[in-house]
Amino acid sequence: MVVLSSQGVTKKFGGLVAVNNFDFELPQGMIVSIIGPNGAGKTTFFNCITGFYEIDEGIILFDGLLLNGKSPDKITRMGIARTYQNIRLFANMTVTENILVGAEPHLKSFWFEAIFQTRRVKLEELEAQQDAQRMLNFVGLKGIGDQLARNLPYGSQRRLEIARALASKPKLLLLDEPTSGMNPQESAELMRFIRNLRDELGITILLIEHDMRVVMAISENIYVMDFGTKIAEGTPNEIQRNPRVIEAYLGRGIATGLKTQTAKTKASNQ
Amino acid sequence: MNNLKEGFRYGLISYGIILYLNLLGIPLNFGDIVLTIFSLLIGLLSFAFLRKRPNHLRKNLRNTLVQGLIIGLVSGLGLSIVTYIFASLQKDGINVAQVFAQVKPEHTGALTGLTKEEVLGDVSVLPGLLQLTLLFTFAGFIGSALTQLPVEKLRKQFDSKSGLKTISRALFVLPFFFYGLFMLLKVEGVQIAGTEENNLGMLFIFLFIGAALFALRAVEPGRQKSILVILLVVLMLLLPHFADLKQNAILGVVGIFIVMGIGLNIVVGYAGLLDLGYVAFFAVGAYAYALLSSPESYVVLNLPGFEGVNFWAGLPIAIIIGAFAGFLLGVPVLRMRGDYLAIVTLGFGEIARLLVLNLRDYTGGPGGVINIPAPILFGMDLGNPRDILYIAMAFGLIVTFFTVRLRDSRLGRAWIAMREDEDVAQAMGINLVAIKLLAFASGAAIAGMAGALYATRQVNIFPDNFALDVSINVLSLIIIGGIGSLEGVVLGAIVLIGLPEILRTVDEYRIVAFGALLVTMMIVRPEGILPSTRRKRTLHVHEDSESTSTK
Amino acid sequence: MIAPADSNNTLAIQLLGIMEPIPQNLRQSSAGKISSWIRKNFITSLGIFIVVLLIWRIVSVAQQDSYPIQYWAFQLINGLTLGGVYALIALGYTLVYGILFMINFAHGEVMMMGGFAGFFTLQLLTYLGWTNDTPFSSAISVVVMMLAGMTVSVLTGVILERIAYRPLRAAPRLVPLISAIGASFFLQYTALLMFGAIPHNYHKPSIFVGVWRIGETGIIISYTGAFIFVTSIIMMIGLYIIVQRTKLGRSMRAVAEDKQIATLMGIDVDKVIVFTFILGSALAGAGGVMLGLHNTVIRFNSGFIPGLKAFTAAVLGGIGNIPGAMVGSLLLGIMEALGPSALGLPTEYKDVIAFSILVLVLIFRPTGLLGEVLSNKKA
Repeated sequence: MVVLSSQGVTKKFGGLVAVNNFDFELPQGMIVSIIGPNGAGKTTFFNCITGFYEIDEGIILFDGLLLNGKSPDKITRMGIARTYQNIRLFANMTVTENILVGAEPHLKSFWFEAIFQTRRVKLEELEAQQDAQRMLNFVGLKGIGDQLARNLPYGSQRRLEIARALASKPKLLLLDEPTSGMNPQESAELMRFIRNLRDELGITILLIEHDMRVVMAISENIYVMDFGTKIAEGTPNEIQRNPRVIEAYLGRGIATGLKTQTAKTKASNQ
Repeated sequence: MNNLKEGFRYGLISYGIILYLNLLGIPLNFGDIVLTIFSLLIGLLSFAFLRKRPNHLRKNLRNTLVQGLIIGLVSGLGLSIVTYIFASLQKDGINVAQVFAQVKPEHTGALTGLTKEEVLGDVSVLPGLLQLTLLFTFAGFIGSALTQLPVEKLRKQFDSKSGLKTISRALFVLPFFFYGLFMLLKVEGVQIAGTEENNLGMLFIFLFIGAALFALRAVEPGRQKSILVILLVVLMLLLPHFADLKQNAILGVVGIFIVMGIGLNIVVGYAGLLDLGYVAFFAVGAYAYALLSSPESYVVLNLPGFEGVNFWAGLPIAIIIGAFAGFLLGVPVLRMRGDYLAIVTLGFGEIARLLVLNLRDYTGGPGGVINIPAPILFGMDLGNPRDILYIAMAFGLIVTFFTVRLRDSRLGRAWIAMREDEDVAQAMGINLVAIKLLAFASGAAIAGMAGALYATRQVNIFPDNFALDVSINVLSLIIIGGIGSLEGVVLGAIVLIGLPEILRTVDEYRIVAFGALLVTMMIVRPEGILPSTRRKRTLHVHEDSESTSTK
Repeated sequence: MIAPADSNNTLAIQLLGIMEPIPQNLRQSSAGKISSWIRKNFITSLGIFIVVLLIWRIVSVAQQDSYPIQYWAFQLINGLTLGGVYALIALGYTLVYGILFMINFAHGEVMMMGGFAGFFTLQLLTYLGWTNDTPFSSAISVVVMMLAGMTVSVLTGVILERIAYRPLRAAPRLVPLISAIGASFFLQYTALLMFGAIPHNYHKPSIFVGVWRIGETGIIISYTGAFIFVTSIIMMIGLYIIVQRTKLGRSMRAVAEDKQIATLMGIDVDKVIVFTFILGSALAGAGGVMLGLHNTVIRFNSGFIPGLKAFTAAVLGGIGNIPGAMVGSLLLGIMEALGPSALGLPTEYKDVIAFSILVLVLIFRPTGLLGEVLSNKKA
């Protein structure tokens, strides 16, 4: 069963073709990575999936439904959640509030019900609060629900961002460089956590990652992008031996790209 | 040598301030006490400048005193020179007031201790100016000497635990103290500080409300707090009975602005949509009720058999029309952010006023709508200031209730999330279109409510009542009070709307002072006087997030 | 585990067929094309609709009562004059916005201060007899007056920046805006108290008394109008050269691009910002004097509405964009002058027209007519 598939997706910014005729397929319950040099169009592709950008050509299907032209909030409600390359929490809201905002797709009450505090609202809020607590326990942020998100240490912020995404109970989770800025130990821990997500909750996971150790260890399938096009696809073993991949990385003088390449220059690339 | 230069620089700054106040006409309007005011100011400035220097310099007694003298001397000489020039011009028969409107002979006289005739006549101003210079020099000296007081020690003692306890106890008592003073003024023949003017009573009322807000914030939740709340509410409800007509009228305006402030707080404070045209909805509400109720309005005159609605029927209509106007304005600006939104809403506010002004046939144009009926309940006419104040208080409580419920709901969370990061909020499944329109509409509905009340209070309304400065006043009051904070709205309304009313005696200076206050507040305490707890953390902890989180 | 590349297509097409009707834009009928275009470009369509409506209104008004061509020419010249003044003020907004991303709400008041200084200088020069003596002395007095206005505006602007804006540079956006609003009130009412509430009347120097008549057409250009227009164009060109060609101008653009990196490159950001305020305020001062000459009066609140209009013009052209501010201002001036007559409305509606234009432009072209240049980094 294929959860997400794209066909001929193209996104242009003026003269620059950021994503070029990209075909892609993500089977249910798999962990798939997209890798590629800086500016290859990976995050742009994420933004196309989540509806932040409108694609110029091609189609994206999720669960058999067309995503083209749908707004980001609708797409999230369909069951896709994401995290960001540079953490984007609601910094001045508390940890719990962040998660409650994430749970938004499952809240049904209307605003005027809130004014009169109907039973439904009370019940729903209570459940949402309890869910949020469970979620915090699950990601290991127990007991800090009342702190402001901005006051958390970096690693906890990453985990909170994932928790917020999970609060929408997604079928598909998009992780944009989840291990960036983490030390090897933290990365390893996060990898275990991601695998747990898939194993325990059955969530399909698509990630963009630069840390090759993470990518090779966790991915079941890998897509390699360069200049917006797919240059290779396959298992970690196949990718490691693929001459075009090696050329894409080494040929452009980014030998270190095979190791941890952090997000220093990335901001300017998309 | 370097120190002299420093003192000279401070002196010049002080001189600049004094000269500014001088040209603003303080001597003319305050008469003989102006020298006292200026001297006090010089002393204060000298104290302030010399205190903030590094410790080793401040400890140097001789140096400090010399600098104080220089500050006073420079200000005094500077002002003397200017005054001398003005006086000579005046003696020559040149009307300086054509340029500096306040610099009349009386003005020069007040500074030099002469009468108008003496200034224009042959009496020299030099002795007066010598006196002025000496006085300023002395004031600067005293100011510098005061820096040698062990203020730090005193403050440390005060900051210690017992100090804090004293403060919180004082806070608890303070509102009752001010209420008592206010009541005392009511007793026949009682004077406080040699005056029994009702302005003083007004001031005590404001101090009561302000102190009550601080007390409520300082006291921990619990039984103590409940008692405090009940007591304060009772006192507040009794207040309109004790206050006189004028005081009730002023409080009524403050109340209307509080209601508006709560409404704008939803739009700006929670949803983060900077709306500078809020007055448009206030006008819509006021005109909706006015046109539907006044026997002289276009609607009533042209609908045969329609006698006009009463207040209680007009109010919901005004609210609904207000909300609808908010919705309509919201639609085109959905895609705009930040400053563009501000300037477009500003444009809308102006358009609304100009339309009201120019659609003469329907709105009465500059002639406004007159004879708007008062609210009537069970046959009682509630048009007097006291009852209007009660209605305003009721409105305030109702909108506070609504706002708090919304703020703590799913919608409130979505608003704040949108304020924090619009893109991410949308990516969390929040329908931005819906919540933006809801924010605009609910804010506008509240403004419509306030507008209807305003119309009935004023009896006659004119386009000039709905100028841009209403929007700016409301925005300023929620910011001064503390954006996103409901107590802040009340405090802001008292400071910005109430206080200027009792300072009418120095009417002309109040807007200048208001402008200066806004700037000072933004520099010293941008989160407002009574910030919402969340906002306070925002502005101080991490001030550069704005620039880094874009993209 | 790995799906062969080909199966992608077949699977997607199968799913497409079963689950979802083919989207509108894939259908090929021409009527469908148009309707889908309208749906996709709703805002643009609405814009076209409004433009058509306006044109229809203008045409029908023109058929009913046609003003003589002289009237239109007069209004056009009037509009260009006004546009020239707006441009001088608008440039100040745009420069400051481009660098600090803040609306200098008090800029109109900076202009007003310049207008007062120009007025008092004019009074003094009239008293000394310069203004009406010879054409040469009259011309000199105009120059002196402009310089006085510019100097006072520059002083006001620099002090404003130092006291009200500099301490707030790192604060969230709302904070400096409120500070600017406060400063605006402060300056306005300072002027009220210092100079009185009565309007001050500019007496034109003799060099400005008179008009040109263009041939037999009956078109009239006042000397004042011509002076204002030409001077403002010269000043704009001067500004453009300063920003594009000089070292300080380069620093300004660098600071607009990225303050932190500019600092690393050894640029003194404070100095550049002060310089920006000097430039903007000098132009505003000149604008204030010209506005005084144009309207022949100046009051404490003379700066407020022109300030708003100029900001509108800056936004119209694309804020942060220097040529944009010029184009936007001239357009706004012209539309304000011609608009009421063209639409068959009383002239009181000119302000409504100005603000409506602003609203419409922002709805249909949120970055202004020529687009934002300096501010592409903001959220």
